[in-house]
Amino acid sequence: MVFPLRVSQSIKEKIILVIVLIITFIIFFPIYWIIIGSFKSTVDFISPTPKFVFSPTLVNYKLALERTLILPAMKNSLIVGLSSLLLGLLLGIPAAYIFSKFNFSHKNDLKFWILSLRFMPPIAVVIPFYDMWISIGLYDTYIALIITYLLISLPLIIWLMSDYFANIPKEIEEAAMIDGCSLFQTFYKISIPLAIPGIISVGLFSFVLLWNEFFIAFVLTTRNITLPVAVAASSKFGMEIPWGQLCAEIVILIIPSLIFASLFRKVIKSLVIK
Amino acid sequence: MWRRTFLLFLLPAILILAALSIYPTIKAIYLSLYDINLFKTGSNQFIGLTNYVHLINDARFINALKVSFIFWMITVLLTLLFGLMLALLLHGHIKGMFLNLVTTIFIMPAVMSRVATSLIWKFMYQPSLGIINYFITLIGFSPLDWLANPSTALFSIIIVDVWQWAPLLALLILAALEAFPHEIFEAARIDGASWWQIFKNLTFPLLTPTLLSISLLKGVESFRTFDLMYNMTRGGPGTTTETVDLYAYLQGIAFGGEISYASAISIVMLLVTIVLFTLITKVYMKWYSRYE
Repeated sequence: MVFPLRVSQSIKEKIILVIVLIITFIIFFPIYWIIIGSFKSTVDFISPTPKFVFSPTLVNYKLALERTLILPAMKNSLIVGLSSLLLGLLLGIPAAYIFSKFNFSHKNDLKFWILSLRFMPPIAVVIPFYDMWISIGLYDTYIALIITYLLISLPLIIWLMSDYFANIPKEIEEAAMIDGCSLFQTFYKISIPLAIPGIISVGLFSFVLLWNEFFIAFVLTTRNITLPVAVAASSKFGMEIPWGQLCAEIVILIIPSLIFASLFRKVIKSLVIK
Repeated sequence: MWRRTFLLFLLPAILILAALSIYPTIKAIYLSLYDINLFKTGSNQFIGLTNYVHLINDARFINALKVSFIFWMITVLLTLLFGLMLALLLHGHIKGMFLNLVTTIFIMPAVMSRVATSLIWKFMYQPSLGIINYFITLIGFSPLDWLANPSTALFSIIIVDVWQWAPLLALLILAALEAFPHEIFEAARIDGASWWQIFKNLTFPLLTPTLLSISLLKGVESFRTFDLMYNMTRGGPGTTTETVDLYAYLQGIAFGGEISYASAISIVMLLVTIVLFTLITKVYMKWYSRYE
């Protein structure tokens, strides 16, 4: 009786595998659909039955990149995202190090407060900052956006990096200190090099979040807009939407996320849950 | 010497975060007590709590609260439900190459820009050329104008949110499932427990802390609706998909310029988030201490 049971068991496993693959395909479908849409010509777009097979064209990408908004917006997104990320790492990594290696009074309250900042509703941030940047004349500048974005990158970096530092064995750092290294020397000679993989994945994750951010950039800029704002502006209401070109813009917008998802499959769980 | 390094490491980050979070909060409270309008110069009278009193009588605000709450409730429940179902389906059945493929694809929607996901679905929801209506007509139903129809608009946006988050939540739940020793499930199976008994008496209680912490994550996330609503419907048709943050934006910045009134809305929003955050954390801590 053991044998037929095994057979039915393996058939069951195969059925589950097929179901999972179908579900995975359905989840992937919208992304697939926008990617192939970005290679379709206008004729293929307006065909009444959706075309799965067609002759691909790069004309949509050409249109998207020729549009005055997109390239400057990409540049703005890169400048703002990278600056806010670097500033966040510079300020956040040392703070994370202190949180992971030392006990001091109110440490947990402080950590909890930093975590809670990640949950601030953006609307409560956007309105006062809008008012403030206008009144000090920095509205629509890189500086305003970079500083406001610290509210996103800094708490994230502190939380994730303090976890990472906590996993570095104390013994290594203690040995360095016995050898006469100061706290500062131990930090940048021992702990930082050991934490490089963590810094890379946390940094990329923060960058993707900043690259994706829409609401704050949308309110705080009018000319120095970021990529999500520029792409959103392509779908004006009440007008004919140039779908081919918009598909290409969307693909450009999601490329960093797709790369991140493929490269950092393994670390994503620890990044998101914290 | 140690103390100096300690402060040098910690203080800059803390001071900047304090400035960036306390300033806007105080400023928003301050603004909400005046009647400042961006488009009218010279209007800056102190009016106390008048803005808040107006809020209670503002039908459009009450409607926005209702829409936000419906969106919040349904998206949290559905993402958790689908996430749990997917995780159970994956647990112990999918391995190796297939698991890598599934994981990569399940992460993708969650790390994508909300602007991109809104527009991708808007593309698919198009009334005449959209792929969804094509499939719908293939199986014999009549096509719908998903985002322009008051009875389907909010539901259509909820689907986008569930698509974006349920797969990631499934991976998080799966990670928790994999952390349990699989012998306990084997033992229950050998003892003749049915699938449902194992789920009800073993899996679900074990997963409760994970599900609570995930619902906290998703619960706060589901309050952020601006990107979706703005890019898919602008709150329409009518005000059927107008959530609180979209309404505050429209009043305070886009059309009204009533920055004081919008600040009052954002303060209410902040209070609701704080209450919710504290409540769920309390419940979570209680469960966590029980299971650890």
